[in-house]
Amino acid sequence: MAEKLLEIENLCVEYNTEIATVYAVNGLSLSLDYGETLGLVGETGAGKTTTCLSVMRLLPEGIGEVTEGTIMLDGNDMMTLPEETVRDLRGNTVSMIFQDPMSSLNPVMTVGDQIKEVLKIHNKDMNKDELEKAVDNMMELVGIPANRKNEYPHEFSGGMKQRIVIAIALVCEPKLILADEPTTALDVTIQAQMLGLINELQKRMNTAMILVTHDLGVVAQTCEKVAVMYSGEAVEVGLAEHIFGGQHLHPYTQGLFNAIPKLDVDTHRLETIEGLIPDPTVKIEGCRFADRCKYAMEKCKKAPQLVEVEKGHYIKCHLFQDKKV
Amino acid sequence: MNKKLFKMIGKRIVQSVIVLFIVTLLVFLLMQLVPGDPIVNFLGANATEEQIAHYTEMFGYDQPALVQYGKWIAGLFHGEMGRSVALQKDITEVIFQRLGVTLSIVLPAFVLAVVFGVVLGILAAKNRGSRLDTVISFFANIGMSMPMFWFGMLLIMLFALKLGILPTSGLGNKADGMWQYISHLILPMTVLAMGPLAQFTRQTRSSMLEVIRQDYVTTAKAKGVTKKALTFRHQLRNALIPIITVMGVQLGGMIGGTVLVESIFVVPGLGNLMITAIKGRDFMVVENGVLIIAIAVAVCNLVVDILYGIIDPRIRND
Amino acid sequence: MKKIWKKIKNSRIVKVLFARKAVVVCLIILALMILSAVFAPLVSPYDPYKQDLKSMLLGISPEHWLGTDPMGRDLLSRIIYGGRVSFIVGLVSVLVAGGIGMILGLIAGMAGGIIDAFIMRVTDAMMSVPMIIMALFLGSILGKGLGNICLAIGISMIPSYARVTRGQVLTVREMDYITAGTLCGASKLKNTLVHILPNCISANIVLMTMNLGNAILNEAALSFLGMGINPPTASWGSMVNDGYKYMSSNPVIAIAPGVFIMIVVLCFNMVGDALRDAMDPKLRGTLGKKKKSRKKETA
Repeated sequence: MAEKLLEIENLCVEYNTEIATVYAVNGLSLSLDYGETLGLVGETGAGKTTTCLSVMRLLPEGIGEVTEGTIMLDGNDMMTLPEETVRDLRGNTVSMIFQDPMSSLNPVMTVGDQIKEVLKIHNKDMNKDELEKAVDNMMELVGIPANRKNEYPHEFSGGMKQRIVIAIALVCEPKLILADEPTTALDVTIQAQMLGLINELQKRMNTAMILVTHDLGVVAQTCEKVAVMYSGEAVEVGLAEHIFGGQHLHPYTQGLFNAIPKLDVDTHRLETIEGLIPDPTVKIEGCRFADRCKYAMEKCKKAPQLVEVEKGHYIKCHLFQDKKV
Repeated sequence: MNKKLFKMIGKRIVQSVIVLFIVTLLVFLLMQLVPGDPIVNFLGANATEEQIAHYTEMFGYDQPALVQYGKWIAGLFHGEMGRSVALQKDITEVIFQRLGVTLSIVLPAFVLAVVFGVVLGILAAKNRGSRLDTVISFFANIGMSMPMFWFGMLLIMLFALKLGILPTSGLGNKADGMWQYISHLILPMTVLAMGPLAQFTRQTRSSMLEVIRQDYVTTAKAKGVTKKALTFRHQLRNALIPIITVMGVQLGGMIGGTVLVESIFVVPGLGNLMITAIKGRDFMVVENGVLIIAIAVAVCNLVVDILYGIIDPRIRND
Repeated sequence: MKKIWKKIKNSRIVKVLFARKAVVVCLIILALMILSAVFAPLVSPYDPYKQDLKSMLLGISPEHWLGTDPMGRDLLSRIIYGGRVSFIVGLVSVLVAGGIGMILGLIAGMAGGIIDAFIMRVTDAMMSVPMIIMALFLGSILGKGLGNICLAIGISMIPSYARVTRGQVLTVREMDYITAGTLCGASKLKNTLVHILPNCISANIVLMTMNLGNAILNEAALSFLGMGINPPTASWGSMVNDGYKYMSSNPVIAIAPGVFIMIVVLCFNMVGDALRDAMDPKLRGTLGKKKKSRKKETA
């Protein structure tokens, strides 16, 4: 067994469309241990979803392409494995919970069949009764009465659909779940429920998880490790206590925190990070955040390296270049 | 669930009947505007006043329009469509005999178009951007753009005149053997199937491409399903929904297309009957012919709706 | 002026349209054919109506590029003049259909209730009669001739425009920005004109472009059946019919006009498709192509 469950090294992903090339991920490195939970934080367009899809090797065919880097998943090199082997891993070793439960279920298949399908693929020796039983169990586990398994997705509410999506993702007890903003499309009241459910099941099955989100609050509640993504790269990686309690922070992460209203401080107006995420169709040589950074200096025209500022805490910024431990 | 489906079908049948009633009204009203007179047309320029008056009275064309319409509709309920002036025959008999001929071309052509169209469309979508896709899309575009009568003419030139292997016109007699019968149908069928085949190919391709981008397809891939299961269970079934709509439209169009095909290949079908009737101002035949065609189209649409209900569980809830 | 030009050049529609080489080729072909139809007297080598019985049914030669027809008329000249009929019928009938259809659709969508039901049932009834039969039928009422054919084909195409427009009205009407407009005190009429109409127009323009080819095919079919344009006016459909009899001796007479119909319809279809793709925001960003392994998109 490999030491790490997931190791992403210098990942670069491009999307090529008729009109332009989009550089979605630019040299991302991440690693994850078995059973660990990582929060992947960043604004829209930072390349979070693309990273997840790359791990599953599910980038849109003919449009998305990994141009550089390696992804090792549970000892498997996801870049070179033949398609059939990757298929065996999907849903079984690694599975994904998608953003929008409204559209991620097949509208013409009953929900029970959709849960059963993934079981059937990866457990060829199970007979009909066993399959049905496993489906019933899983549905009860995510909090949906098993007698509704013959209904179609449109007969369920958004939250219930997401429960089914979770059931599909977890029914084979994968080693890694990629949860791509699993609560964004849901009501605030249901969000907490859903996170609780995912967390509970994750603990029970001892599954690792990458939780993609732009909500730092959610990360604080659920994750042991945090990676902050900006414009296709990880600008800061560390344990939750580093990010939420530490003194050293990447200017972008600082900005993110400043944008959160605080209960103990009287604020008239929230701070914002000026400017927009850089145009992803342009290749940038230097620090990608420099344009919006209040500490920007001359050397930011050159790209900084990811340095370890304290044990297990990495920052990609010139401010910390000499603080190496 | 089936109860919902039946309820939906019942609703659609009622709607179709209303639409057909409007068709009869429209056709009848419009027919009043057509210049010319079936009797004069039939008797020719040498007919005397008395002859014309006699025949006009005989066929009831002297009565007020409303009465004529009432008589027509009342007749329809008894399965009577009146007599054709030009053919001097009972219209019901003629139309149903002709309809049989037409359907014997339309239905096989439709099956041909659907099967080949869907298969080619899937192939093109699955190999998007490849040479195969380019070739298929190119021929689909050509097929859609060819005038049907011209394509028929080319086929006659090639298969009948140059190669001499297929008959150019008329209908085969079943008594002369199966091949005789089929050989007469091959060319008309091909010509009629061409356009719809191209349409199905394009529609299948584009709706497959549309479906391929859907989140649930990514979900299915993330489950690790095989390519075959992905194509048939997740993609094609969803892609079929818009394809079926096109099928309904095209089947109607094919019934219309017989007008051209039957005229090129001199097939004594409904299309040919319609042209002669329109040219000869044989009002009753035109009215009933249009009605029969509209009924055929309505039935097609009904079948499409039922298929919809079977394939798409969301429709049943309306 | 320059700004407008720049805006046009940078708009997504133009970009997508011109990113496809095949579409550019189609646009050029169409432009050439339309120009030669407009300037037919200048372009065509002979008088298309001048019969010359001494030179009938000539084959392809340097004097007559496509040969002559049974009456000794130059085929190429007739084809160039025939293009006029095709383009006029295509354009006018589509405008008739689009104009009337859009008005009916707007009325149905905005009025709702019994008016809506009535309009929709009538279009249903029209749609249940195949287009070509509808056109034949209307043609027999209106009579032959260019204007009447345009009208017949145009009317037979109305239902699809009425439906598309109504559909657009119904979706747009429910949009939040319409509600916002109403809340700001906009009247129903203003909402219709400012918000709903533009939405309908773009959908209808796409449909019109895509139907141009169909209209041309229908005119050709009617003329082929002898129920379209009056002879001796050159129309591609009737030319195919004229040449039909000489199929074995001189096939060019029948084949050539058909080739022209096909090319024109093909080009209109391709442009229409591209326009639809370009205007459909749903397809945004999905017109992908792979860098190495993938050849250019042609269709």
